[in-house]
Amino acid sequence: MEKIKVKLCAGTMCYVMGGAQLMEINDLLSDEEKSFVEISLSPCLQRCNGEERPPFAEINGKPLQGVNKETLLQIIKEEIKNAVR
Amino acid sequence: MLYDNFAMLTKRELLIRIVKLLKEDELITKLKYLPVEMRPRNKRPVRCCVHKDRYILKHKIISILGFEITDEEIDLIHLSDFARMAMANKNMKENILSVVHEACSACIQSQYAVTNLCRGCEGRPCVMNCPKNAISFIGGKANISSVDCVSCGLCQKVCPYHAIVFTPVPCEDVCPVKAITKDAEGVEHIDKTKCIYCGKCMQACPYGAIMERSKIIDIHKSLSNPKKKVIAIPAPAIFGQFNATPGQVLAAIKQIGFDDVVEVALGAETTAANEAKELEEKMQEGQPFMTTSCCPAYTGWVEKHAPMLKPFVSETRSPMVYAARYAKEKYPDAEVVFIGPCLAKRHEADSVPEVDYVMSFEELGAFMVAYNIDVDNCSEKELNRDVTKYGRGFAQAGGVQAAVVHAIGDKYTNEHIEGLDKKNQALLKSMAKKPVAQFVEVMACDGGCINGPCSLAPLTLAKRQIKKVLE
Repeated sequence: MEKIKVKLCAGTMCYVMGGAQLMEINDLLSDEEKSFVEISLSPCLQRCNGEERPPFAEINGKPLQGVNKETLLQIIKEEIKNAVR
Repeated sequence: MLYDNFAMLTKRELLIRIVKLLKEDELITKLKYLPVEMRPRNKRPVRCCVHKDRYILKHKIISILGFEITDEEIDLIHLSDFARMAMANKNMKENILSVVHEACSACIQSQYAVTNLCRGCEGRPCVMNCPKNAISFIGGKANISSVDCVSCGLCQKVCPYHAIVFTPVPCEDVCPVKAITKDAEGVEHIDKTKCIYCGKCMQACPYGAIMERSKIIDIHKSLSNPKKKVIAIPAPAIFGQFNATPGQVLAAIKQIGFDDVVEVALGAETTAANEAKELEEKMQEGQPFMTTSCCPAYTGWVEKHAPMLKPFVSETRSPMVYAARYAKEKYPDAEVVFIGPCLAKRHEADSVPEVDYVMSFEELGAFMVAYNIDVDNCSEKELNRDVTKYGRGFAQAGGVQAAVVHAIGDKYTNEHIEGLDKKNQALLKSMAKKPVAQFVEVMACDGGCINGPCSLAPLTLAKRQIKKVLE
């Protein structure tokens, strides 16, 4: 099964506006969940100048906005459930 | 609040927007739009109405611009005029910390209170166990007499329905020295004679009602003045803040427009050496113990609340002082800007002539965002070879201890204390008679400077990032 790709924006805007805590999302995943997911940092996703709210992330290409550690965790868990089905 | 919250984000958004306006030289023309842009009519208001939201933003903006916000006359002055005055250097705010009257929610007094979850049970363990007989039954429900209650919390513990709550006043509850109290209307005020500028109230307020004195207008003016040389001296804690190498972080700071960047860790090397020498001397003279002096919130606490400890505090200056002196010697006509996670440094710097301005890590982040600088995209700036991992280690609790022990060897017993909660304050005061060790490092912030009130990264992340740097 292909790993679920989670991209976190590591741009300074996202980092300053709440993105710093996202860097620790790995700690919230169980060992099993970790095996399904590949978390990477991306340079600025360039979405900060529009109407959307930082911090930004992507899961398998799907754009996410205004995420925090907990909401991102739920999204990842949901995605794992869907993929395993 | 220790968790990320919208009040914190509003403060950062304000800083970013103001620096962006400064960058485009549009502060005077466009500042007035900020409250309207940030709180448009079609978005749900946070407080009672959009007008209150905008009013509070106006007050916060005025505070960031560097003006006192306690006078009612500020309501008669337009934001554009404040911008004009700020650009003309007419902003001489004295108070390092002030409460935005309009934003303060005047939370009701901390107390134990019975909620309507109370079922008026037969057992009534609340009444039976209250040591002060402060609970009676009125209308079938428990009632706590505020006159008799001593806030011991026993009733809350014993209630089988969890019907008793403690209503906190976040700023008052977190202040280690009772410096913030209510006036007749319930609005909080900070007593300058007691405040040690630890910044805990500022972090704790869920309304972001407590603002610090900002010098970003002055700093930006100096940076954009081609005739002025400006040197940045970032605190060792800087390397815990970003997901990048030290060389990249220093390069990113330089890119904002500073003429050079000198690590305060360089000054820390001097502090460690001098402190080690001083420790040796004091031990030879027969003094029972010595504490560090580099944490200004701690030294402020000794000054105002624990004068019996004064003779035991080291006289060595902090790393900021030595680094600033080095910068002034190397660049005699330059202005020196200290960049750190610390609020109390603003107070210390007021009496250090070699430091011209203090900038917080949050303000630094705002500059980086406004100038489109991505730290992990920067090419490495060369590091000063005279700075070792011991100087950089000052960033976290135990760092000063490690550096001094490295300089002097394990000759004397040493300890470090983090956080100025009630327990540690009592412990420190008792050391005047019975020290816990011969050398004690004291940090007002748990985890040390990387967890300062103006830091960007959460403590666990900062610890990891610092570990990578100190390897």
